Amino acid sequence: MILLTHNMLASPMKEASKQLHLKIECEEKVEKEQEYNADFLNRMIERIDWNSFCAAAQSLDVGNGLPESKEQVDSSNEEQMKKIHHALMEVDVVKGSLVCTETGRKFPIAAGIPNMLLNQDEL
Amino acid sequence: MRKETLSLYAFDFSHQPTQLAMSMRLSRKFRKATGLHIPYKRPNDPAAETRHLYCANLPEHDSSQDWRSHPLFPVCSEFGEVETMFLVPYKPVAYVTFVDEGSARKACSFLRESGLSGKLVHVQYAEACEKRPGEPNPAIPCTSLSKDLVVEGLILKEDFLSPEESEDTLNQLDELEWESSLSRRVQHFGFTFDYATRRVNTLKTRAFPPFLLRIAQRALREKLLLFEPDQCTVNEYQPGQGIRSHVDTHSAFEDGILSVSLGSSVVMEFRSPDGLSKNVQLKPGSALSMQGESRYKWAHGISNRKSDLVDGKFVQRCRRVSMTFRKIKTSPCKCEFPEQCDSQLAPIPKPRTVQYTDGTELDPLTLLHHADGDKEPEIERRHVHEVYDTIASHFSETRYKPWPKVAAFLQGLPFGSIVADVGCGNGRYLACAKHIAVIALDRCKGLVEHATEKAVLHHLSTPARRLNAIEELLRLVKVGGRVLIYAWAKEQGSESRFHFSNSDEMVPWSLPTTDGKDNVHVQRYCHLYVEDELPRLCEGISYASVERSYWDCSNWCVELIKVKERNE
Repeated sequence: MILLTHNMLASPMKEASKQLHLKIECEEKVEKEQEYNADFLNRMIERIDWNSFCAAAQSLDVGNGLPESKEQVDSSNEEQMKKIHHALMEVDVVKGSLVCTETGRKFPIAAGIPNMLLNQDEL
Repeated sequence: MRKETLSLYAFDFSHQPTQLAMSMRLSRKFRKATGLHIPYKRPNDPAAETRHLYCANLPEHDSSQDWRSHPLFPVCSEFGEVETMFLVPYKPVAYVTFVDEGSARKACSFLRESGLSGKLVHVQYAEACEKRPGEPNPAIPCTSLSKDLVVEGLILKEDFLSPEESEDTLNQLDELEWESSLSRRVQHFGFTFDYATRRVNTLKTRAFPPFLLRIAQRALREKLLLFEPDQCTVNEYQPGQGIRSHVDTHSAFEDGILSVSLGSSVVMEFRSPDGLSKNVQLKPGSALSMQGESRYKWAHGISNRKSDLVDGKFVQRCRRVSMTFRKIKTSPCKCEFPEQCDSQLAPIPKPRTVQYTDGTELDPLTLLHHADGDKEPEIERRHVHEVYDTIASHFSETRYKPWPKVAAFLQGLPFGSIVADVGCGNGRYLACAKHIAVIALDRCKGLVEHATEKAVLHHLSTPARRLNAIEELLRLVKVGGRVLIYAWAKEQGSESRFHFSNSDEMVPWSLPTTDGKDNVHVQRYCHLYVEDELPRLCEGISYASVERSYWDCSNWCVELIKVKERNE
């Protein structure tokens, strides 16, 4: 699971507000190089929740040098853009959990894939 | 008809024994060109004496003949029992297989010394070479083998069109527009035939041009057609292309189907349910009329080959165009062949029960009655989720090719779109388009691990759950966003191996076992969608509009656009 994916996820618990992002508890991560495409990255930046992205990046130790808000993103600054690219798409959490902050329910991540399935009694 | 004579093989062998190695190579080339397999090869050990003899420089023979009539047979039989012989088409070459090596050795020295009918014969030992798995069936049936078999109601009129008329017709067809949505190019006149539903679409029509009308009128006069045709399908076949063996749907067309061939000769195979088979050469300009038993009981098809075997000779195929004239039927069929008849064969589902591990045994479809109101109905848990967990890796192996229309949908999305692939299976669409971000999800763990779209909707057991699933998909997208839904169709295409009579069915999945023993069958619950079912399901959703609805790859598909927020 890369942070771009994480940014699209919300807790499936029925008690959860669906507004908050899930907290990442990372046990293992790998860094994989992805092709850098500035236009594509700009389009992704437009769509993501910036605060959640920064918080998640911090928890994975790749948050350094990221602009504090979307407005501060300077697409002409390639060094900054490459940092965003790296944090958003190149860091893959392969093992760990996603935690619903409202209910405490943990969703395990295995082989890079978060299992968001609920048990029968949680439906 | 003896069994041996049915298996004719082709071989391209030079008859100089010293060139044996080279001819082996040639024969491979020949096989590649004709799709044929070589049943013999050079022995690994050149000094080895086997029970198979390669004999060249023989008198000319007709390879479609019974090998027992070959002059070599009585000579060889003097030295022992001949198990089989193999006459190579075109070439003065034959193989003789004896029951034992001793007989082969004696025959070999005799032939080397005395020759055959005063002519020198080159003899070498050969080895039998079995058909390798995955290779096409080696035997090309020759027309001469079934020459005397009569198919009731089948009329072949060669020279129905003169060569000039054939050429003229072909030119006129080529001036019109060909449709190329199928693997072969087609043209339709009169009512259109819908390959999706195997029904005729009575709404769309395109008038017969005068040259087709003239042909139809002539066929009527000559009693090759029994009714005035109102539908004509023109198919183009390139060498190597054929058509699956089929019986034209009884209830869709009246008796009397006419096929006129243009351009190239081809061999059409007729098969009866009793296992009989007749191969008929359709020459250019010929008209083949299927009436009565030949239309209702016999299936007809054309093998995917580049050449055919006609009276012992290979005939290369070129571009062939066939014109099929039919009259649409508007009432149920009342033919005398109920077993092949869709109107008379009532679709009675066989009772199928499943033994569960807790010892209960029941028809899984009865679980459907209890599905309403359940958050995760038992039928879905037992016959969808648990099944996919079991078959994940095998399912994944068999689903690797992205469907063209789905790939086109993804490729047509605006740059930088974010896409959720719900029910991604093994993720075969993840890499389809580089300009979009795909987030793939699936209920089955096994499948996701395999890659990181297969429809989901056909595994949901109640209308409420199906509608809810569509609304969930719409929730994911922004206003203006698109949702593409694929769900299995009750009407399966001709390429499908499934046939569904009911809207809810248990579809077995056959899983090969690792120990190579009998396959394990698991039952998947599927709801099969009928035409318009998906758009109707979406009608109740006020905040989305149906952009298009179509049939593709045996699925009914709908593309929705979210026009406003749900609560607006």
